[in-house]
Amino acid sequence: MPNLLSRFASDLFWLARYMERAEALARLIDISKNYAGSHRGDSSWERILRICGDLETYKEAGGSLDSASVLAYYLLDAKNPTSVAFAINAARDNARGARHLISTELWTHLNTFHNHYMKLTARDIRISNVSNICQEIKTGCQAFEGIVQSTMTRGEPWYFYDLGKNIERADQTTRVLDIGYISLSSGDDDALVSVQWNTLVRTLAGYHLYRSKFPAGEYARDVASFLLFETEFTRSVAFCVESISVSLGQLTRRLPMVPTEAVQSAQDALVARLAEGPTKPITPARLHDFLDRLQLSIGDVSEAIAITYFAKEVEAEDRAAA
Amino acid sequence: MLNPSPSGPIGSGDGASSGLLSTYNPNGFFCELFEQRASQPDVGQIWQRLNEMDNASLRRRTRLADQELFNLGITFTVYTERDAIDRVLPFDVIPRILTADDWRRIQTGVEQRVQAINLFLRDIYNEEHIFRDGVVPAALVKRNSQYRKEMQGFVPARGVYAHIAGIDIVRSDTGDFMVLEDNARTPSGVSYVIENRHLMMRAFPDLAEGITIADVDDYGRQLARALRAVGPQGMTDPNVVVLTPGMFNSAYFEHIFLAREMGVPLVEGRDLIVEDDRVYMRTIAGLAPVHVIYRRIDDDFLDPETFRKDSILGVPGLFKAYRKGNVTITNAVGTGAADDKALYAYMPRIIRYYLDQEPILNNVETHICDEADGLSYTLDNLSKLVTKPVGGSGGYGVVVGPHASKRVLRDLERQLKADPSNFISQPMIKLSVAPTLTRQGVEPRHVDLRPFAVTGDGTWVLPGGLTRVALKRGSLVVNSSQGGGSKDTWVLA
Repeated sequence: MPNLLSRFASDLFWLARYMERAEALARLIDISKNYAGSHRGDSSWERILRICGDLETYKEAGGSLDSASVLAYYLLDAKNPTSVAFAINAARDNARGARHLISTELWTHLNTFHNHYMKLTARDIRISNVSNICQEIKTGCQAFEGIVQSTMTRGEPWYFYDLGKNIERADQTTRVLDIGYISLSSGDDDALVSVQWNTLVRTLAGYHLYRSKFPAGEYARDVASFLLFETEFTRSVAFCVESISVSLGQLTRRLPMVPTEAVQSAQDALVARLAEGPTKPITPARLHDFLDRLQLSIGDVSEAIAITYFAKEVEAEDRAAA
Repeated sequence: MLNPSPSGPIGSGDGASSGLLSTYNPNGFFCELFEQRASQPDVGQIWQRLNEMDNASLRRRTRLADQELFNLGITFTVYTERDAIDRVLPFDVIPRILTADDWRRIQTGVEQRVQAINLFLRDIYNEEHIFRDGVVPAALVKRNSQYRKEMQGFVPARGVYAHIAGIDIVRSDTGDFMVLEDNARTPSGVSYVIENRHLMMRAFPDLAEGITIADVDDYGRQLARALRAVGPQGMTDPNVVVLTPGMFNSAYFEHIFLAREMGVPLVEGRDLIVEDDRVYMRTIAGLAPVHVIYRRIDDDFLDPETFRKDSILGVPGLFKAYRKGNVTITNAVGTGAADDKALYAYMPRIIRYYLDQEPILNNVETHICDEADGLSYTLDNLSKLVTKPVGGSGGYGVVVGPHASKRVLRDLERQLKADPSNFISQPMIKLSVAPTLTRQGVEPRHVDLRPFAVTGDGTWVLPGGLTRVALKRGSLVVNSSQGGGSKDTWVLA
């Protein structure tokens, strides 16, 4: 049997990335909504735009900072490459490209989820209903992941799916952490801060583990440490980076004829950068700086995978989506 | 409780005088279900079970089936100026029944026809016996744009050209099956045959209970077997791929289906590359050889070096690799020379010529206006006949005599006299009907049938085929683009 086609490897990689991105966006939106609710005024909606790197584009296009506009931008605007609608569309397109390699159960779930989601209107995402919608997105994405786990063949397709998932997940966790720290800098009292960190960890479904690891820690530093380094937590950067190493190792073992120096050195750089950690004592600015550099390292691994395993036309897609 | 029996149909009680089908009237047409319900016990059983169902139950099952099709993404794409809309091909939940005798005739008739088509294609691209013996005019074949002179002097593996053929068959008011059209290029629709069966068995497990229906699930295995049998230079373990124009093609669902059923990659032109007249696909571990390509791309777009220069769907150099015998393309290039309307009229003669047999399935009686008798008969009976230009497709330029104005007929007469070889004529066929769920209840609607034949080291015909149904009352047009739907086709034991 011939090896997996490059295009399908790319499709599965991006399928995973976009589904993970849709879920992460739902989490970011949910957190932002909570923060916006606990702060005075709508300026807190600016944070999500900053975290996603959209603030300038958004303002240039005349977008307003009220909740309805920002929510529509991130939930419904299929033209915005960092929206849930865009991610779900892109995930479905990638799934269609590799449709014959994924199970009918998986495809049907994604197609149904997509069709349902695309029917949403401004009315459905009004602020009182946003948490429900975010929950629906998370449930849809997690059910997808569950069907992947139980139906995807554990051959070459699996490793590319797994790489895409963990690369996106690592990247998104850095963004969630970033939004937490940005919110801190506005000088709130301790009680409010602790509520915010609790919410953030809860949103990532890590609260219980966090509590057991840090029964009475200081919020900011310990949450950063937890989200970055806790190897038992499936959304920590460390967990994702380790998973990436495992899948890369499997591919190297299975495809001994493929030269993997570029991927290996990008991955080594990512591991080293994470181990280094943010400069201490941690300040919001230092953490933000560290997270930025970590995101670049993650992007380097993604690009090296594309160059090594996907053909040229796929690199173009990588750039377009970056 | 509003619905005391949500899991099954509500029996309406007292026999033939009442029930879902009590007012059903085929209006003088041959009905696929009605005609044989007395003589065939299984048909009678199905009729009875349907009769005992009620409208609401049928509609509920239809809705569920439609929803399932939509969730599965079994849609075809309709492009408007603004949007691309995914539509479900309407599925009618009342199956079309073929008895064992009906099927035996169709199956042997299709096998015969496919055999003749393959011999004909080999001949017209090589020895040209049939031209020299005066059975088919050379000009008629060679002026067809689907005749590919690039194929002259080349015989593909095992001499098979039309590996996959779809033969469109209709039934007249006398109950006779007749071939309406041969599809020897890339006939589509086979995925619906299998998916319709899956839908049917989920929506109507009770309708078929205890009745033996021929399986359709074997198509992928049979197709893979046939394609592996026609690998280049007799190789025994060729790499097979399905070549699609891409996910924006309206038949993309079917391309996925074919790749999945055979367990082979679904590739696009950009995944393939030709080096030293050999075809490769780009994989994560470098180039891997490709030996058999089931292409769902027209000849014109296959290879910009040989055919249309502007094609971005194809693979440069593919045709040269093909002619060198390094790759098998299915269907072969140039099979369109065997399925145009002009040639259709000659099919009975072609069967007799190559096989020395009488055709098992007749053509619709066709008058060839290129021949003196045919022309004079056509001119004398214009108002009764359906007259078709031979080059057209999709019904373009067809004049239905009984429905045409005097002016149109006069115009046609002029055209016929000026260029008789461009026309054929046929009598009006009273197409058979089958009971179909409509807004008005169960009514007769016209149907046709497209069985699929797969040829590798022999010919295998998928039992049944695609039954298309014209959903509009009185309409004879079964095409999906014009309000057609489909039915599951049951071949009884």
